[in-house]
Amino acid sequence: MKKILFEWKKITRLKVFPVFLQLTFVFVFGLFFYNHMSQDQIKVKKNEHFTELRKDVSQQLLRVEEELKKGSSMGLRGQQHFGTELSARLQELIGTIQSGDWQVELQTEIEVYETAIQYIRYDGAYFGVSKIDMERIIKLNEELLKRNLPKEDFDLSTQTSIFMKKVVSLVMNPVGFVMLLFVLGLIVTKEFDDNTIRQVLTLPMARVEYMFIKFVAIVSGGVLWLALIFGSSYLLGELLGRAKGNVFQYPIYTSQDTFISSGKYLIEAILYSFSFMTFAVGLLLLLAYAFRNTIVTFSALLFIMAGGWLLTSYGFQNMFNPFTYQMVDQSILQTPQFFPTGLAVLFVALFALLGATMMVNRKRGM
Amino acid sequence: MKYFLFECKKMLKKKSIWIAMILSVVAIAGFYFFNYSVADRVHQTRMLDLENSQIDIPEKLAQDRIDLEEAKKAGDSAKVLDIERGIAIYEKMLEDKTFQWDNIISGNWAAISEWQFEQLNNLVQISISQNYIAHSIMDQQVSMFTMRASAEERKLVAELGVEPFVQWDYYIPYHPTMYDKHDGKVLEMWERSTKRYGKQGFYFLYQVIPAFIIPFIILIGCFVFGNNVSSEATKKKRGMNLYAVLPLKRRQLFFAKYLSGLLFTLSFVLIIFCVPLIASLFTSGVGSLQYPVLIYDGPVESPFGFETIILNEWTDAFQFITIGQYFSTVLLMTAVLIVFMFSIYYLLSLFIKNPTVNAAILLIGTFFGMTVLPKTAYNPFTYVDIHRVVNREFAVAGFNEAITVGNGLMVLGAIGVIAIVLCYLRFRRYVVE
Repeated sequence: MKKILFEWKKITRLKVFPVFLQLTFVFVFGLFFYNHMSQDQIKVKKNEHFTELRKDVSQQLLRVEEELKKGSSMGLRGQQHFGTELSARLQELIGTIQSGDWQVELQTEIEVYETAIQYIRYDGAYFGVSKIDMERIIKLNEELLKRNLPKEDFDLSTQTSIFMKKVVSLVMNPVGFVMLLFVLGLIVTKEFDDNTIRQVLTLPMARVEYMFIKFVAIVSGGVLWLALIFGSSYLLGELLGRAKGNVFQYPIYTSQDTFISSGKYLIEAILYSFSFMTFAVGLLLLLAYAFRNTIVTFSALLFIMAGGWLLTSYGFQNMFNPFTYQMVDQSILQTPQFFPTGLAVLFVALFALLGATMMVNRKRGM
Repeated sequence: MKYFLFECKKMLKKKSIWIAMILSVVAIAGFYFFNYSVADRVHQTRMLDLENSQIDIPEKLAQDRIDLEEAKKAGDSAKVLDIERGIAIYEKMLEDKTFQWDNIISGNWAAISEWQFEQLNNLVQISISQNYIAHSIMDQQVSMFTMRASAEERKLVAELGVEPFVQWDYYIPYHPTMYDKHDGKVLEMWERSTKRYGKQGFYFLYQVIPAFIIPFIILIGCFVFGNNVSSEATKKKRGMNLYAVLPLKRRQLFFAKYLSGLLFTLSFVLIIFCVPLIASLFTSGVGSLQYPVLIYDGPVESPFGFETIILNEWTDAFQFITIGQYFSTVLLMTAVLIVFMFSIYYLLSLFIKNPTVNAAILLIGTFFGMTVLPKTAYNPFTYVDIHRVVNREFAVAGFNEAITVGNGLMVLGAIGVIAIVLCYLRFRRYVVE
């Protein structure tokens, strides 16, 4: 315990880590403040979107009227009927957005899309939202009405769980994890650069024990960082944001067209973040003890993390590839079936890395 | 000059630098071969589909002809019409697929591109004639600008006669543009069908440049080569203080150290970008430097002389430059961006002795400058996204004609010079305590 506390003393004396924690808090707070100031933009965005859709429908109706003058047909009359109804419902929806009554807005949006689905059956009828997306939005709205929750804008929301989700998507990714490792990894690599490791190796302490102490110290630093991120985003949402109702039951779509509640999403996010963070620390330790040089260690780390990100961006999302989980938001929503096996994969990979680091550390001498 | 060469020699003697360089070369070569294997898999999927179609479609047509005879005998005219329509569609499909197969096998890419241009041009002409966009992806219309630009690109590629980028959708190979407004599931499908893979060296570089690989490599270069002061200025190694007792002008020493680091960073970035070209000599070759690259020209001038602030997918202009011209502009901007980022990194290293912390600060600062600060001509971080400055996407989307390559070179250069001056002022009386 004393040795771990001594490592912590080294971390705090570096001053970098406390500054990094403060910067993280400033980032979360800044994001919340920006979202808070941008609440009006949500209405404006919705207004613009539906006004654009209504404009398109109106232009199509004008064309239909001209064609009807040349000759009537059932198709054209049907298109005119549903087009007119659609235009009216869109106008109504724009009105409810302005009024701020979210329940009426959700219901009206359902009616708009139900009418639009009828409208687009006709040749030449076009609506700017695809049928699949309309059906998804109808399903979401019905679910929201059932759970008595207003719809949230995932980018600008100040609702507790959705704001936390936004923070997860911005921070729990390769860049965030690399930043953490750059800051905390110094306590390992600095000893090699300054050659103080030679003095440490003269102490009556097994190399493996020393490596393990470093691991625990860095992981506890990571846990503190994660706690700060999740804790501050939760508190900001609860105290200054919108926390009315069962906010952790907000339904979020996954890639398999099922819903995951925002509470379950956050639990998975915490577990994945912790697991990937410990895996990344294990990787850092292996690279640090293998290369014994700051520049090489962190260059290799950057390339490995970038390579892992590339694999997922090219669509190679395999359950047994630990780098699938470095984009936490994406792995929860795109591959929900990987939970909780993904956690086991990360821990197995971590043990393999720690084992490899112990093998590297086994030999005497530098 | 001697001190400069001595600093270069010290740099070359460090094993860690050689290992970092080898790792970087292996990483970029690995990335190129990985991308090549993915592109090849997409191409093989296409060839398999074309090959199987030449067996499956004739079998289906034979069955349909039997069904047609039976329907005619039964006097079912509606069914006869339906089957005849189906037969016509499948015969055309078989003809198209056979055409593609034969020309790909013989390497006649001009014919393939010409055929693709005809598909795209038909859609453009139909859309213009009916004043209504003729093609949708899952009920969302494709942007008219994308259609026009894609047709023009395919025409130029056909004239060139080279193998184009590999793309999932090889029937109507759209070039994704900033005018695309898809969302939801349609966006996922659009991105998948329009993602392009460059097998050849130059095309691979063109594919990866928009993904910020240039700033990433520059950051690695700064991290590896930008520590020749901070590594000698720690509490354990006070090599910097030795210079104070030597008959050596501080200015000479500063420029020797700074320029050696800068030269190595410049060379490193250049070497890294040559690696895929060398690797491609073992695969599909480097490609043609005449390949067309889309440049946005924005709204055309209103006949009444008013400036417009709305993008118009029907009338906004575009042009194509060659990939050779694109790379020469990108190289120039990269060189100045290296000076900018390296100077800032060097300035940080004169205050903070940890390379990882300096790299983290530079990364955070760049990210902040690119995403939080507004995209203006005077924000140097606007020019970090070199691709979108060169192809004028920022200028057109932001209606800000001041965001140009020329202004970018001046702003980055000016701030780089200011950073160098600040570095010198800090270095002048630099003593490790």
